[in-house]
Amino acid sequence: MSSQRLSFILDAGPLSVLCSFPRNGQPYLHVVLNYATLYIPEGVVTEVMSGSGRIASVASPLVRKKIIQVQESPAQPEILDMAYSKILGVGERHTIKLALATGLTPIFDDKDAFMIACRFGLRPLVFQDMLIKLVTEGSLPKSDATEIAKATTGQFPGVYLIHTLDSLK
Amino acid sequence: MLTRETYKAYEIYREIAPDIILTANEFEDSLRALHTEYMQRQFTIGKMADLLGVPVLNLYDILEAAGLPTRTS
Repeated sequence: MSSQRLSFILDAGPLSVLCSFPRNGQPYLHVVLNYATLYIPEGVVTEVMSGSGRIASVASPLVRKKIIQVQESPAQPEILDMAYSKILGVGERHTIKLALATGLTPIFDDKDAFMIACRFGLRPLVFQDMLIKLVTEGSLPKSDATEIAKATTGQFPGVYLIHTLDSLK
Repeated sequence: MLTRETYKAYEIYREIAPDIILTANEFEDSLRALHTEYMQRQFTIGKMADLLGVPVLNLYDILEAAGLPTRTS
């Protein structure tokens, strides 16, 4: 399969993981952006731009420079807000709406957000499967994906790493 | 009395300055109650952030400072 630049919509969780683990002082977000186009919904951007924490400080310059792409989410489907506003945050609902409107793959690390996205007919990926896809269908070097998967493994169920490393062989 | 970790988390919370600022004790009570429900899968971390009145990206920093785990699934 020929390599291509893949695009994903990141929920706040995966964005946080990519911002939190540095290599040589640079968060992995910078590594992934060399091989993928990353979108975040407008609702999450407001948080990125107004926040003052570690994650906001990494992500907001990239949003300002338009290295991370920002897209507004549509209001539809309204049933998403009606049925799930008690369990999902605004950002997670915006991520699902944007994925439905654009056809781009959303990345969730929350089981409920993942399952609800599936109920709307989406095929979301977990963070580690995004890494695998970036290697198998994109041009992220296997060594980089392996390093990121190992460094961030504490954020996910431990057994995921065994499967991820096997998929990256 | 607040633990050192909780106070550090409270400082982050105050820096974010949500519309309604809780006292340190109210913050600790809310954080622990919401975190318990979050760990019991009553809602996601995004919803927890909404209920606490902070951006979800900052909530990760708050939880880390307070020594509270995020769910791993």
